[in-house]
Amino acid sequence: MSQSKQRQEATRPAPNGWLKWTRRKAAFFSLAAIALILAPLAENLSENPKDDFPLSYYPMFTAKRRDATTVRHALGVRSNGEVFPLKYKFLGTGGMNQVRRQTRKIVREGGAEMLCHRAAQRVARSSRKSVSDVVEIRIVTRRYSLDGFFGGDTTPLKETINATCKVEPKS
Amino acid sequence: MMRKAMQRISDWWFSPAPATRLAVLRVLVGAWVLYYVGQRVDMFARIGRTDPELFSPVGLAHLLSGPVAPEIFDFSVLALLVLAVLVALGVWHRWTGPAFGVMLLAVLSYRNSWSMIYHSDNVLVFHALIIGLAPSARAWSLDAWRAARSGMQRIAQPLVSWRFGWPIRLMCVSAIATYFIAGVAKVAGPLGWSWVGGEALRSQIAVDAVRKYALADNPPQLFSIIYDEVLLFLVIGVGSLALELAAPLFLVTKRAAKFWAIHAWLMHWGIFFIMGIRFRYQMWGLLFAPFFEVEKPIEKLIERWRRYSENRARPARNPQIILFDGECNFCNSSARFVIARDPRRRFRFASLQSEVGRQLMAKAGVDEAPLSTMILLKEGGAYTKSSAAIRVAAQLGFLWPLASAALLIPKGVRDRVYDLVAARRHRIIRDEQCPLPSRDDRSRFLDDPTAA
Repeated sequence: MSQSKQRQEATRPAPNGWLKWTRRKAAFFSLAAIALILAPLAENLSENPKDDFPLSYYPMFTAKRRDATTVRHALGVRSNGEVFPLKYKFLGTGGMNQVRRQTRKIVREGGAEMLCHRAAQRVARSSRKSVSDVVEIRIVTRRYSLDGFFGGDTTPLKETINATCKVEPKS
Repeated sequence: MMRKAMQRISDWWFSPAPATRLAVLRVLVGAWVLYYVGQRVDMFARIGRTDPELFSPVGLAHLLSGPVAPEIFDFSVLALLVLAVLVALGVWHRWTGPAFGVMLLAVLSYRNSWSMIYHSDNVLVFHALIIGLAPSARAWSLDAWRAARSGMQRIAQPLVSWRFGWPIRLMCVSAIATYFIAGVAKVAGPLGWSWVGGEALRSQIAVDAVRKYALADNPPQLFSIIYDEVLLFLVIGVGSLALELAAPLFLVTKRAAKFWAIHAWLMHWGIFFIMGIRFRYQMWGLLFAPFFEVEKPIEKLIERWRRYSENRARPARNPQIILFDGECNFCNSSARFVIARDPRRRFRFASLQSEVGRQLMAKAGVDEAPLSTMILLKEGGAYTKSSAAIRVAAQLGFLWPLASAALLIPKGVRDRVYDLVAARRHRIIRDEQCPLPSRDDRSRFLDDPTAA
């Protein structure tokens, strides 16, 4: 194909149906899109910033952390008395952080008992070997020292048991 | 001055790019959504059935007054997967493209409306919307193939135009903007510039690791080892913040943008090793693909394939000769099988019983062999039984070259299998009727009296 023909071909409007892009339209669309993506920067000036999707101001890793942290989670108690952190999947749906946030919300709103029973039902139904001998579930609020934790001591500084329930044995 | 600057920005924004680059990005985004959402169909179904009390709408879900029926969400996920396939293939892109972008935004908005926003999905949505609205199916798509067939567009001629350049630049800017916003949030937040001190970053990661421990989600081992190295966190903090806050400056030149993309990609792998967090779209490099000439490796492969195909179509210079039992139907049909897969006419044939066959064996210094033995005569040697069969198969089309791996099996074992088949060759195909070979094919049989 000759160069002039190739140039002609390249300047022919793209067959994108109702979206016939002109330079003006493309420039306007681009500016609007960039402004929209950058708009969440304004949240940094707000007293009550609000995150959204997909237009986010990326608040993760911005909070001031103390030398201890509080987590609401579940513990499993085995028939031999061993107590261990229960996998988040027994508490809710989604990823770990999603379940953590759901757990925090439910416990804060007084739904720890309900959450505990739901987790116990899931454990009872589960075919996982790791929970086959679990007889009890506890929903707890624990506070851990960061230095202590990474120094090898995983014992919490403080523990509040929000709810306890038995796991019905499989029939 | 101002006008000059605007002109330079406009020239940069609308500088031409090949349609194939945008096409590769279209395939990557479509295929990624198919993989990413497809793998999570069960999880999405469970999320659609989460306690309605936990519904906290974000994005397009703001338009809803409450959670929708789970079946509607299931159907939307399914529709998204279908659209992802159509977009990757470039089918009816003028409609499927925009629908794909909007559907991804809707599905991920709903998925993120249950107490947790997954920020790693943000740029994926931007990219899907841009790809969907841009003319990204002009090349390497079924739309382009159909247009070429109907004479509307030349599929083999890659187009280069500003129409394919600005969407790619918008994809780059949308990615860079998100890192910049994340950087600003860190210094504008309660920590201010102390964020770079190292301790702040360390405590952020430490809190995440404790949560992982408490919720039994495999806490990262590397972090426990480096916890006391505050200086290391200072270096990581300064590096990552510089990469975020200075991100827009890297758009100045193509090389600087690529430099930024590589380092941002490495940062995500660093996050994975230290924190155990997987930003999949970023770690797989898809977020950074628009910064590179992604079409070039594929064009090189296509060029190689074209040359390979041309070579295959050219007649071979030194044909090889296959000697076989001419009175066995299985052997005859094997010869026809080889002919059908040998467009370069590498192979000639002669029966072991014929005068030509005996002369060829004598010339090659091969002892007279039983009729069950297949012999391959080629420059530099003669091969018998399984060694011959594998060497013939390795030169046929499609996946047959993979057969050469069988040469790794000891010859004794291979030949035992060959003998087992050869001993039953008269029973495998009993039908004595064979289709008459064409005049062209007959010329490949050296003992055919009608051959030229």
